[in-house]
Amino acid sequence: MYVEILEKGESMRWIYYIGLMSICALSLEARSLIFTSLPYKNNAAIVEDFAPMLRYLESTLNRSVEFRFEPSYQRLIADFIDDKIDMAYMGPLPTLALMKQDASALPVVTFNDAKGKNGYRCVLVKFMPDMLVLEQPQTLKVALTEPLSTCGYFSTAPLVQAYAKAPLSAMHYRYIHKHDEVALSVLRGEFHLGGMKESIAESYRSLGLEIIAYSPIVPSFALILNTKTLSSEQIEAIRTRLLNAPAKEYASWGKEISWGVQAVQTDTYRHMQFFSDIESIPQEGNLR
Amino acid sequence: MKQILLSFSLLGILYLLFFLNSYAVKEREIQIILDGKNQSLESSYKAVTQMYRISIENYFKYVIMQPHVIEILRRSLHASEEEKALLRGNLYRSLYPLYQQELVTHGIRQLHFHTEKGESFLRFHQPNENGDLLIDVRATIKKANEERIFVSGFEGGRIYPGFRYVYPIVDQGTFLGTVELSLSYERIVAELSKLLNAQHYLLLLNKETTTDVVFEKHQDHFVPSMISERFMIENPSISSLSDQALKSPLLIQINTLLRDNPRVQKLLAYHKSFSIPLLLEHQGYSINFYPIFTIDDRLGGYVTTYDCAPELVDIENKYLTIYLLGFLTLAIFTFGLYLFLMQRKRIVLEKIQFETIVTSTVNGVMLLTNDGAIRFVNTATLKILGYREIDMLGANAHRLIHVHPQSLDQMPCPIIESIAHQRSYVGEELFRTAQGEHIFVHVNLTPFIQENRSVGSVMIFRNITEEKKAKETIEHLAYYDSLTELPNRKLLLDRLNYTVAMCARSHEYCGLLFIDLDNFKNLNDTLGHEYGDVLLQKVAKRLQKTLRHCDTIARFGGDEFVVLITQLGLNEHPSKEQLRRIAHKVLKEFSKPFYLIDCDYRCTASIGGTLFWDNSKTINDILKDADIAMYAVKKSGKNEINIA
Repeated sequence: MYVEILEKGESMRWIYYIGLMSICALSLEARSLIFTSLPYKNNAAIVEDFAPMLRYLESTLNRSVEFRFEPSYQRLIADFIDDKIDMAYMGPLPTLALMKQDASALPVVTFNDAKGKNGYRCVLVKFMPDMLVLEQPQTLKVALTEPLSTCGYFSTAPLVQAYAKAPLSAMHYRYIHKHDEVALSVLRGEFHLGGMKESIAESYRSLGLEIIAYSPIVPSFALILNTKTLSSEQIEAIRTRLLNAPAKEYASWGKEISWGVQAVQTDTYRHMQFFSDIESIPQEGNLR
Repeated sequence: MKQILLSFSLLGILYLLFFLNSYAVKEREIQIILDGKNQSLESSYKAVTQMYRISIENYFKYVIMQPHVIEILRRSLHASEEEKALLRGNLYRSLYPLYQQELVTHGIRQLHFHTEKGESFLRFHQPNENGDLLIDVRATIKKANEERIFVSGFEGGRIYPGFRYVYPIVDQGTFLGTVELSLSYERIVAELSKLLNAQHYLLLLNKETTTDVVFEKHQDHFVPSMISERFMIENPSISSLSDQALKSPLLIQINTLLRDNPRVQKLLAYHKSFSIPLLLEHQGYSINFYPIFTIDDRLGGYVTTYDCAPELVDIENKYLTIYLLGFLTLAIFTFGLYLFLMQRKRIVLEKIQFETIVTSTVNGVMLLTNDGAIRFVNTATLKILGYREIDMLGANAHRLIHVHPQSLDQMPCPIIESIAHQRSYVGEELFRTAQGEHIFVHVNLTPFIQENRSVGSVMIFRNITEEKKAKETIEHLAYYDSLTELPNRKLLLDRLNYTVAMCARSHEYCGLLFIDLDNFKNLNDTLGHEYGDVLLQKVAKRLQKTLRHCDTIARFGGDEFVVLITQLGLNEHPSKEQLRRIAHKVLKEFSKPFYLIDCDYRCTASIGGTLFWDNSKTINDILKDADIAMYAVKKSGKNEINIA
């Protein structure tokens, strides 16, 4: 069809260019936004948690939002930097790691916990009936989420140190990615201990999972926007929409994000900067 | 115009009947293919679910019903919540290897223990979701729990719908609860795909019985199907089947067509298996729907397969050809019919014209067979010949009506000969009427040709008897004197001319007598013309009586008569004497009185004569010589003879 148009002369050529540009503009305008979450749960659970919130945002942005599932924290950060992601739900440590590598990552809101507080704790868990021989730390196996997870090595190492009086490096540990999987692997007896987010650990108490240590409160999970792929108007619209979400609305969202949001303050992540040497976190566990 | 309309109407009706019949046959052919595919789907589906039922029963009997599992469940009957949590954890720990290595590997997505009260005790696929009451929303659990029997079927659930197999756990008479193993649809599809050759598979979930009963927070596991608002599918984010369905351009196109098709929407409401044929971009597809029911006989959903069906394209092409050929055949037939009708109309018109002509003509028309039998006669024939039609048909025409002067052996009948040789014949013949009267007819006989062979002859004739008489009368008037019935001057000159020519050849002497009645004027003047006329008639008769038949006696005008006498001889003198004797004989006869009306009258005549024997004298010369001779007699005293 375009060939026929071009053959009709110069004037037709301009019409063709204008049409082509219009089609491109329309396709850009109609592009779906990509949302991803840290792979702290399985895909179905992530859909359950975030689909209501994304529908809420779609109505404001007049744009559909699609899920993108990332296999690991590192992969998520890499794809964000490559502009394959417009919005990401991330914990404080991976947020810090991302912000260090990509200045265009902008945390806009953080999600409250059940008590309305803006922050959460990481915990150390074990299966209640399991009897641990703390005197022999080399026999202990510890399940961790991700190297860049706040409740991974970053929080669990000090909790293990305090509980077992031995460094995590003296024990066997392995990254098993998801918080749920940390809980389940401890329940299954594959690991003696596990480090995870407190709210998720609580949901496994009905299976005998015991919380044996708590970390200090760290900044809540945040929604990170990509300023390279989103316009300032869109960013402002998302921020305003989320901050103005009525309680009835966010109560219907996933459990992890159903307690409201707060705007990110400029010093929210400042106090984490000093005690985190992100580069020193082992990228792999010592247990195969 | 009427024929055209009739032909087109017939074409339309015939093609409509042909099309409807062909269409019905085509639909039957398509239905046979669709039925085959749907039957395959049903058989395969039943085979797969039955296979899983057997294997799941084995899992239940030989793997799940282990003493330590029974012990945990027995202890949980009276345990506190905290104790239950530990027992739940222990159960999870003890059966997880089975769940992960056996069940999940073989597609059994859910292993779910329920308490004796119908609450969820432990979901292996979602361990932290427990304690919720299921008995009100899960018919399988309720039935297995209350009736303590094995229950299986498709059913909705709090998290996922699935193909459920629920077993009651009874140990030493104590009911410990129930355990449920469920299959995902994807697993069913994996097995179905080994048996079927479908391109895509989808499970349409009936909202009312499946997705409406899941936990609120799990509602996002499902999205509306593209086919119907009453049916959902699993969220494409967590189901590869749904992902294919929503991303495949082909499936999007097919599903949109199905959604916009009222028949599909109607069939979906019937809860029966059906298949829909589709042709897209020269490819045939069969979309097959097989209903699956919950254990309380409500529709759980439809197992849907998207099959390639190239046979549909073949059938479509075949019937397009049939429709076209049928149309052409009927068009040709109709055109032939049109020509036939036109021909028939023309024949009818020609027949009417022929009958009108034959009936209204005054000429007799007969159709004769090759052996002369009469096949047809028109009204004029009957009128002319006086026969009844029944008497003529089948009779031999020659014997019945033809008057042949001689026997056929001596002189063949021209009509019979013409028929026999398929020739035309035109001539005058003599026919016999029913009353025996003979009539002259003018006959026109023409061979009657049908399909390149003669089947007889058409004879057209007309009665010319009166015509012939009239002609004879006219001729008579032209050559004879109306008063005396003697040849007139014209005929005399004609015969004289002929005689002169004959004399030139035969060299025989002939003679001419010029007779003029004496004192005829006086008679007219004294007694009147009628007496004069009678005298002329009497003179004519006496001359005829007196002279030879071969001699020509003519009234030349007024009271003048001329007698042409032939064959007098080869010599002049004897011939002259012979002529003189004849003249005397005439004169002698004149000496007798003539009776005129009421009186006798004596009349004399002056006779002049002359001889001629070759063509040296013209007829005028001859007449002049005789006239002069007669005039000499008149001058010399009348009642004499003068032969020049």
